[in-house]
Amino acid sequence: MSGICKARLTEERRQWRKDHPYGFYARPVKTENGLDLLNWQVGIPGKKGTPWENGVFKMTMTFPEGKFVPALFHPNVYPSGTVCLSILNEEEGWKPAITIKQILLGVQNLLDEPNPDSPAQSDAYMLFKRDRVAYDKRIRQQAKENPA
Amino acid sequence: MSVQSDDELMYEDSCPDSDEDGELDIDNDEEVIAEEDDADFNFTDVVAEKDRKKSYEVEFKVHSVEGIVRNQDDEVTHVSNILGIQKQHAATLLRHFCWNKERLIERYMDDPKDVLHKAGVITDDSMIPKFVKVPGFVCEICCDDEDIETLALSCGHRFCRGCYEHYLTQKIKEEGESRRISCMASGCNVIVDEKTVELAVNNEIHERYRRLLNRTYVDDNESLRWCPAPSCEYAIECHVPQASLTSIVPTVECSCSHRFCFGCSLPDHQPSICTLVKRWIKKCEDDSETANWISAHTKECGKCHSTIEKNGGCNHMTCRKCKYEFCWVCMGPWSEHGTSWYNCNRYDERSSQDARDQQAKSRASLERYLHYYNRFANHEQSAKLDRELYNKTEKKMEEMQQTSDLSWIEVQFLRKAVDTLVQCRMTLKWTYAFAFYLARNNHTEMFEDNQRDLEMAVEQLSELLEKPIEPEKISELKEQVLNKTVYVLNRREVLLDDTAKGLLEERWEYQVDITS
Repeated sequence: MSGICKARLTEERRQWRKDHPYGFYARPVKTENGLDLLNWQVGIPGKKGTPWENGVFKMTMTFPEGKFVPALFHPNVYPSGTVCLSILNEEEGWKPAITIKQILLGVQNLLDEPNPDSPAQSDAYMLFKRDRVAYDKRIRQQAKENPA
Repeated sequence: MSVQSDDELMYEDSCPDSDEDGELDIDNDEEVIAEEDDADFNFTDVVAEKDRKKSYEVEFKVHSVEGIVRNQDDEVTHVSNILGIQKQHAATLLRHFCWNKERLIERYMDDPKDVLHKAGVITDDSMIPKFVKVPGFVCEICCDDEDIETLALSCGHRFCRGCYEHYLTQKIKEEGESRRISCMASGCNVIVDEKTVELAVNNEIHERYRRLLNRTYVDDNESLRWCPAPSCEYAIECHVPQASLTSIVPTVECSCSHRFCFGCSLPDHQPSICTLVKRWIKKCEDDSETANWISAHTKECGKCHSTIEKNGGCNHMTCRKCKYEFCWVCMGPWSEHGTSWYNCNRYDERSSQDARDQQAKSRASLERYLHYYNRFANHEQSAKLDRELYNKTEKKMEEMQQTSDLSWIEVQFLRKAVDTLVQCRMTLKWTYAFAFYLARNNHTEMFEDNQRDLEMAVEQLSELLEKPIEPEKISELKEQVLNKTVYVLNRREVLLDDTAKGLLEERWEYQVDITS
C-alpha cells in the first residue's frame, strides 16, 4: 500500500470516528496484524419513508472497489454486487477529493433513486420498469431480510 | 493508341511528382480536388476533365499537423485582436466554444466576465493560480500536513502539488483528457487552466497535453476529421454537413492515399449512403452465417413453416410442432406416398410441387438477402486478394521488360489496370449493399443495368490480367488491357454519376426508412 493511500485512509477513519451520518457504519477489517486499511466493512441504511427503511445493506470496500455482499436486488447493482454509480467511476464523476462519507451517502441516495439509464441487472430493472408495486414490495421484503 | 498512351503515361508519371511536392509541402494549403487521377487515359481530355467536378465528388482539403496548428494560431490571433485579450486566453475561449468563433464573439460582447469565468480564464495576473505554502494546511486528498506547496483554482478548493501532479498526469496520460479536466473537489466543474497544468506536470506530460489540445481543434470541429488510416497524421477538411448524408456520399482521399467516407470514416463506400452501409454491415454481422447455414441445412415444415434440420433417419418426417407428416425429398404430404415409401419418386406430383412452391416463397426473402450478400462478399474477397495480384503483376511487368523491348515506363499500364480493378471491385461491392435496400422500380432496374455493365467489364479486365504472357502478343495484350481499363473506368463513372444524381434528386426509393 502506498504512503499516500495509507495516510488518506487513516485520516478517513479518524474523521469517520469523529463524526458520521446516522445509521451508517464503516470500519477497516481486523486481522492478526492489526487493521487492514484497504478492506472496510460498511453498512448503508435505507432512507426513512422509502421501501428501503429499516434495512441496513452491507458492502465490502476493497479500495478502490466496493460491492454489496450479498448482491443487492437493485437496478443499478450488478449480479456480482458491484454498483453502477458515476461517482464510483474514475472516468466519469469520481474525483480524488471524494470522501468515503460522500460515497456512502451517494450509494444511499441511489437505493431509492435508481438510474433507469444504466441498468446493471435484468431482474430488478425489468420489475422496476414493469410493475412498481411489485418492485416496492420486493424491496420491502429485502429490507426486512437485512435488519439494522 | 499505343503512341498516344505512351505520351499519356509519361504525363501521368510526371504528374504524381508534382502532386507529391504539393502534399509534402506543409505550408502549401493547396486545394486537392478529389479526382479520378486515372480516369483520363484519353490525353486530350485531361485538362477539361480536371476542371469539372464530377457529380459524385466533393471538395475537400488535406491538412498536415503543422497546417492545423497554423490554422489554429490564425484563429487565435484573429480572436485575440478582435476581443483585445491575450492569445493564450483567446485559445482557451475558442476551445471552450468548440472553435465556433462567431458564437464566442457574440457572447463575449454580451458579457465578457461571464464568458471568461465559464471558460476558466483569469485575465488578472495576480489572480493566476500559483503554488504557495499555506501554514497549517492539510491536503484533503493525501492528508499530508507537512510543509507542502499548494494551489487553488478560482473556486478556492486547495490541494497539494503532489496530488495535482498525480491527478493531471493520470488524466492526460491514461485518459487522454485535455481541456475538460476539472478541479479535484467533488462536484466542482472549474476547468484546470493551461498555466496550472504547465506548472504541475513534467515536460513529457506537458508536451502530450499540448498535443491533445491541438487534437481538440479537429475533434470539436464538424468540418474536420482525422484520416482513420493507421498512424496517419493528416486531417481532412470537408464542408458536407451530417444532415445531408442521405443525399451525398462525401468520399475523400488523404495524402497518405487512404480513401474514406468523410461522413462516417469507413473506407470508401460509394455509391451507397452511410446509413445503408451501417445497416448492411450490421445485418451481415448478425445474419450472414446463420442465414447461410439455415439455407444450406434446413427445410421448412409445409404446414407451420417451422425450420427443420434433418439430422438422421428416413425421409418420413413428422413435424415436432404441428405433427404434419411429409416427405423430406419432395416436401409433399406423406399420406400420398402409398407403397413407394422410403424411395420417393414423386418429385413432380402436383401436391408436392405446391408444397415446394410455398416453401420457396417463404424462403425468398432469405434467398434475396443471400443473393446480395454473396455478391458483396465475393467482391470483398476478390479485393482482398489484390495483394497477391499486385505481386503477380509486378512479376509480369518484369517478365515483359525482359521478353520484349518495352521499357519500365511502358509496362506501367498493368499496375494501373490492377489499381482500377481493385477500385471498381470496391465500388461494385457497395452497389450490392445499396441495391439490397432499393425498392423495385424502373430506376432500380436502370441501376442494376449499370451495375451489370460494370461487373461484366470488371470480370473481363480481371480475366485479361490473369492471362499468361505470350511474348509475340504483348502489344496486342497491352492494347486490350488499356482499352478495357478505360472502358471499366467509364462504366464506373456512369454508375457513380447516375447514383449520385439520383441521391440529389431523391429519385431512389428504399425498402427501409433511412431517416431513422
